[in-house]
Amino acid sequence: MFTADEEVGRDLAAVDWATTPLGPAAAWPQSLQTAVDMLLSSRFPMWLAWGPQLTFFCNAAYRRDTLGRKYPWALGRPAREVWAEIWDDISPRIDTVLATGQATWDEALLLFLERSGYPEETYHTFSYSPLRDEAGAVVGMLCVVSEDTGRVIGERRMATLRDLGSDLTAVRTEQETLEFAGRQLDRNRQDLPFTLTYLFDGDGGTARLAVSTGIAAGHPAAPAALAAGDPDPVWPVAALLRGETSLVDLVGARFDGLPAGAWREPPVQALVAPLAQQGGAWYGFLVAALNRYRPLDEGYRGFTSLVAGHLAAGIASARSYQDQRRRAEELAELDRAKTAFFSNISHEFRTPLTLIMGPVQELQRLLSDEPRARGELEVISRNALRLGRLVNALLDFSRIEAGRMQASYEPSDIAQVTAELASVFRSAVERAGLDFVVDCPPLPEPAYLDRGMWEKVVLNLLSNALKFTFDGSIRVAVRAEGGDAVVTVADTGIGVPADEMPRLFERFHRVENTRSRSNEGSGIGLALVQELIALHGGTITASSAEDAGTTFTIRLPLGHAHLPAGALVPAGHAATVSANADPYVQEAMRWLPGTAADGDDGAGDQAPAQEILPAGDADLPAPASRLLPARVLVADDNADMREYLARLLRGAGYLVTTVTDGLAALGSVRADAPDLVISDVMMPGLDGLALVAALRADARTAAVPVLLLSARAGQEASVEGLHAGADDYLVKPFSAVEFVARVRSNLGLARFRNRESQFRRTLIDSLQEGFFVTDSDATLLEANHAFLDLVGYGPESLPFRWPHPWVPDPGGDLEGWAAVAGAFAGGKRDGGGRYAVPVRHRDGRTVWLACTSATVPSPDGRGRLFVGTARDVTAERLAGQREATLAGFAAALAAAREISELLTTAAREIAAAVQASQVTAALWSSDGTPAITRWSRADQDHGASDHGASDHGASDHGASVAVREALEGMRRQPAASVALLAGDEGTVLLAAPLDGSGSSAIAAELPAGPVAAEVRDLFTVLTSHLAQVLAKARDYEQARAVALTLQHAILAPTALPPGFAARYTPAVPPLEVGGDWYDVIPLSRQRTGVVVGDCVGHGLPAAAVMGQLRSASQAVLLRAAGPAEALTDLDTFASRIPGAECTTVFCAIIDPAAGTVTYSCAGHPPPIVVTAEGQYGLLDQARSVPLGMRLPDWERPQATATLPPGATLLLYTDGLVERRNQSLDKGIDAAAVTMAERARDHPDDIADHVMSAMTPAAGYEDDVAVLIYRHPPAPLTVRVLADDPSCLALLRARLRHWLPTAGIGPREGADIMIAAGEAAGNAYEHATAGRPAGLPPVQITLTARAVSATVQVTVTDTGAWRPPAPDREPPAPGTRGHGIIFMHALMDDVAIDPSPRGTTVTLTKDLKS
Amino acid sequence: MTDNDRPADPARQPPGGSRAGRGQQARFGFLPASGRRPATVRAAGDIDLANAGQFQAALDEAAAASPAVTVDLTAVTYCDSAGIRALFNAARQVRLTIQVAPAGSITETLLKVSGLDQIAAVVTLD
Repeated sequence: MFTADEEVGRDLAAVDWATTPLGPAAAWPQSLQTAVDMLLSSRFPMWLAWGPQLTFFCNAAYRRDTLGRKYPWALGRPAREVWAEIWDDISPRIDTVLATGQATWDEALLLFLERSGYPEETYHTFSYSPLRDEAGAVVGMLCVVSEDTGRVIGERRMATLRDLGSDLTAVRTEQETLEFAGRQLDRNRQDLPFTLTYLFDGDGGTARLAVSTGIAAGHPAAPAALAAGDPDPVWPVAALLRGETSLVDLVGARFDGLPAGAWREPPVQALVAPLAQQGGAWYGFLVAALNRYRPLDEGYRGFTSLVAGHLAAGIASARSYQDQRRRAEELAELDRAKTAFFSNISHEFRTPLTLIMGPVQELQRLLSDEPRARGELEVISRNALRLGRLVNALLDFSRIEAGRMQASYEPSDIAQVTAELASVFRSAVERAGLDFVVDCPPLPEPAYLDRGMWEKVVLNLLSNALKFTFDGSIRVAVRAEGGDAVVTVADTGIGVPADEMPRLFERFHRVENTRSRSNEGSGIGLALVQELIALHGGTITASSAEDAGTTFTIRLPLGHAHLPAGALVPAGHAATVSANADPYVQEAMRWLPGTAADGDDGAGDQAPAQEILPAGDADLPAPASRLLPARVLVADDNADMREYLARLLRGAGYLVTTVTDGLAALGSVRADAPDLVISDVMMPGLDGLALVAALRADARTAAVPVLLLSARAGQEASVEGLHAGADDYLVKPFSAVEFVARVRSNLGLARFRNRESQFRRTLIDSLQEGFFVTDSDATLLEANHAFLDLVGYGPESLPFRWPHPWVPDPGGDLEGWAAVAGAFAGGKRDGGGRYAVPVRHRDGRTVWLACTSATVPSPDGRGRLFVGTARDVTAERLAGQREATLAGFAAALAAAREISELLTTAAREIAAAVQASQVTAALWSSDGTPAITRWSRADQDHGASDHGASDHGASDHGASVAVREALEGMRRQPAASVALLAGDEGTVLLAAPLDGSGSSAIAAELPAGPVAAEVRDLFTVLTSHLAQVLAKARDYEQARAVALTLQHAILAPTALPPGFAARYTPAVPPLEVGGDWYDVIPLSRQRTGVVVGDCVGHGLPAAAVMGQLRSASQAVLLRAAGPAEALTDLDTFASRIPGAECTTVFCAIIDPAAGTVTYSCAGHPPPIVVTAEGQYGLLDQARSVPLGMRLPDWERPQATATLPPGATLLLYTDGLVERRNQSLDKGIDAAAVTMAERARDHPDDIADHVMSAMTPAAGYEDDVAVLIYRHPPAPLTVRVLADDPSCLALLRARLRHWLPTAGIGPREGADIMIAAGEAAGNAYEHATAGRPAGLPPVQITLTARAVSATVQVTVTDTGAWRPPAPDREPPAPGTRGHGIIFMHALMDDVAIDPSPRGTTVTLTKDLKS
Repeated sequence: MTDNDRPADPARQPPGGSRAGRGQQARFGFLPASGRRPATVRAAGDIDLANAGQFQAALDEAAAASPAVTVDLTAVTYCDSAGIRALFNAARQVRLTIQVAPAGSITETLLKVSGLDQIAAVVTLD
């Protein structure tokens, strides 16, 4: 009795069975004895109950897994007592079994067991089967149990984590993120009976409840706010601010009446974990009430910390997203507003300005005798003038901001230039009664100035000084100081209040309520001055004392090292004060008493025309006398404009007809052609351009001259107009004088052909677009100022012969040269065309021109000429290149497989794009250490990347102190900001954060000198893109780590039985964790079930399906008669699990005693069998469809194959053998050959060998599971003659070789070698000692056999056994007799059977699983 | 499968496996103390009845020359109780340090089971 299990058997034997209803064990019926035997010998957890009181028995496995502390008390007791706490759950099932004889089956049933001293949430899958006595009556039941607690709870937690990670795209704000997370957490009230998520305020002083689950608002345990300084806080805020996780016992009044979550009783403990921010701070914390029915083990802690991690990541992502979105929206809004504003200026400002200025001029002329009207008109005129100036200043700003302000710095005597500019103001200053001191001695070295800009700087400052100074003086001084030119403009005016000083240079900011000569002022002058000085690489500062005066100090570096070489031009013209200075002075004059209304032809009349009108020629000769008044047709949809124009024209003596649109105009012209058509471009119906086209298309009207009017100031507009065939083009606003002059000239042109050349000169020079004429030899005969400005050459050099000086040199830029030459050749061949070509400006920079050319007959009738227009498209071209660069950058990043590779690639690409000498990126981990990735031009082709190198100096890792400080400084800046910082040795650093949460930054080192706006834009665009990619990669790596952890948790800890080896490898990143699994299930009668499967899909969902299928396959194999039936059961199971269908499974039962493997295959690749001799074959019978694909009536096939002794079986998933562009058979063949190379090795070695030999060069693209089984080899028998001790070495050698083929590992192999070696040594001694010479030598035989989990070695000799002497047992250390000790110590059983004919030693070792 | 081989017939000896190949012919050597190196006996291959006497002799030679002896067993592929006995004898005469291959090797197991690790210093080397 009870011998099948030593330990449980002993305890069963100790039970006083006579006191139980079963009576003394000796008298038990055979049926009970058999049942108990079977129970004890099974390695699967079971218990049975027998007899009227259902007396309890269990086996060792059940004791270990389930019974816990109730053992051995439970043995022999009524089952009702043993399982009192769950009796209500299980007794109905037991009753059913006993009453009906039908087995029950429960899967993952929740039972609260008290096996560890507290009620514990457990899950068991079990079946109750009837046990019958000899008469066939049901007298007991057998329960086969497998505990699913780990799986069920693991899956539940996994589901919560998976849900938390889902649906990120739909989440927007921090609150939405937290609410989404809350809904997920609320679905798991088992593990999280209630949760509270608190977030710290900005200053960290108070924590506020952001979201809670499972607990009502207002519960004392869930206060809306917690102060850090609270001496007795509900939750340990102080510890949390240190980043510590605490376990809180939920005792005390404030925790009364806590909600219980999914349970009967409320939780008794809660884990409070900080929500860590990247870079070592904390967003807040999570209070997770704990399930009182589960221990707080590593898994539980891990789960809560993953939940906290998820929340923190969600907050980080939401905040960074919000930041970025807000900034992006602000920027986009600003940009939209600006664009809209500037594009509207022409319409909204210029048209009304024209309509104001024109009539005002007329009135001023008409009413010059009426002082009052004249005064009012002066006010109107002055304000219109100011409005025009404001528009122009804003346009300057827009150019600076768009990086299109093209400065040309020429070497200048800054003292002289400044003094001359100042002198312009002298009369105004003196008229204001102020002293004017100009102190500008020559400087030793020239300063490089853009004359136009410098003029604006000086004039603005002087105008400013005059405006606010009533007594004393204004002083302008220039000095050289430490390599800089220092220009000061000082006044003794009213000064600026101290609190206004910081905003002095702010755009549109005006100091209010101050006394000044004029209330006019846009608040834009000083801001513009500052921008213009910055373009010169200089600075401006102001110092001021109220009522004492203000001093502006400008510092400009002398020389040109700080300026872009491309923008330098040689010293130019002598004229130092341009006509642009006049308006400043004239405006200032008006502030002064007694000058505002001076004379009819004074500033008031002249300034507006100068200020707001485009360059025009107001000095055209007066119209010649004529016989008849000319007839003019005016077409404009704006009634005011129409009437205004008509009035002007009538006033000039013309006959005027007006129409309101293009169609009417066309009709009118066709009916009676006027001398001139004046048409607005923008009109409903037929617009001005279409009108011109229609007129030109008709021979009767083709000759009628047309003057187009437009509010569109762009160059395209005028060109379009002229292309359409208009004779002239006037941009609004224009003055009455200008308008009438143009009309006159056009009429004159039409009437007097001799005026043609003069008109054309005027016309093409008025174009803002470049205009040129070439002959058929490409000699440039004529060009307007705009064109010459584009290429940087003066008109005095005309004509330019081919190759023109701006054509790229074929030696340096063959491509550019070919483009220009090709354009000319193409234009000549096709009679014109459109081309974009690069030209070299005189100052060296490359300018892209978009040219349109057409051919016209030469006026002299000999050959043809080509006329063309050219427009600067450099900026558009750069934008296009930027798009291309970004596309290339995105493609390069997409190829990176992990974060370090991503950063290395990004650093390299950014360096190439912005011409940086090095690019350094840093990622800060949560402990505050940065991981540095650096690409440097000096390192050339290899990117040096080192992580965690924060403590190393620049010499070691390249990132200098300046770079590190730049990165450290930028990491906390808002997303999408970019800074220009000083680098080492005069270099410039462009730096940007890579997210909004302070955990990353990047810096590029550029050569000394100003950084072009394009480069800065490009850097911004590239780093923004990198930030997005990086954020995604981080999310992805985090999700992958979670999935991998789960996969390992599900597959890992199972110890395999002897003879088995298994490996699992996930696919290489960025490929995902998959759903492969393997399993080995011990079955009855020493048989073993093996399963390998592969679920469809990747990531967490596949891992979850895998976990469920794996435990299902365990259960079905234990119940099913064979693999086919097991797969059929799995079909049913798979149809109930979403995502489980189409899983492929190979299922087999190995019977080592019979030497067979019985199997069935559901769409899985066939396993490989390799014999000990290295021949291989496949288990390729019994194939059928994957799980859940079976037709209802169709049975799964099953086959049986013989396993030769020592054969090896390889089960695998397709990742092992599947390769792109290669058939599966080829891969399977390769795996078989690889295995055959190691047919006799230990299974572990084979597994390692196969996995490494089959690894593709780039790593596995799919996950791979392999399972190897070694069938026990044939027993080993070695026989030697004991004629010399060297015979022992042979015995050992054969055994040593045999052991791994039996799947015995090195440790147990060593034990067996020692014991067998001692037995053989003893045999040799017996056989030889005292043996008379002459007798034939004794024979020693060693046999070894492996059966299931046991190895048996026998050593037999034909000599006499010599027992150890009684007084030497046990032997003292160091004496003879160690051999026997070693055998006993290392073997599980040692039997010595001496006999007169010889001795047999039998050594048995149980192999551990 | 029955073999009736004699050790002198190497042609029919089985090939060595990768994990537990055939033991090496035993070799013993004594290196007197020199500089920082202690007096050392190096053994290699299988130690059994056939050669335990040579092993004992090497140990005796070392013990006679130095009060502290290091025995390097890292290259030993098998050792029986006769070899252990020789080490016990040496440990009684001199301060003995034994270097062995890592945990689970034959020599390491033997030193533990025999109790030799109680009277000699055992150093496990990789």
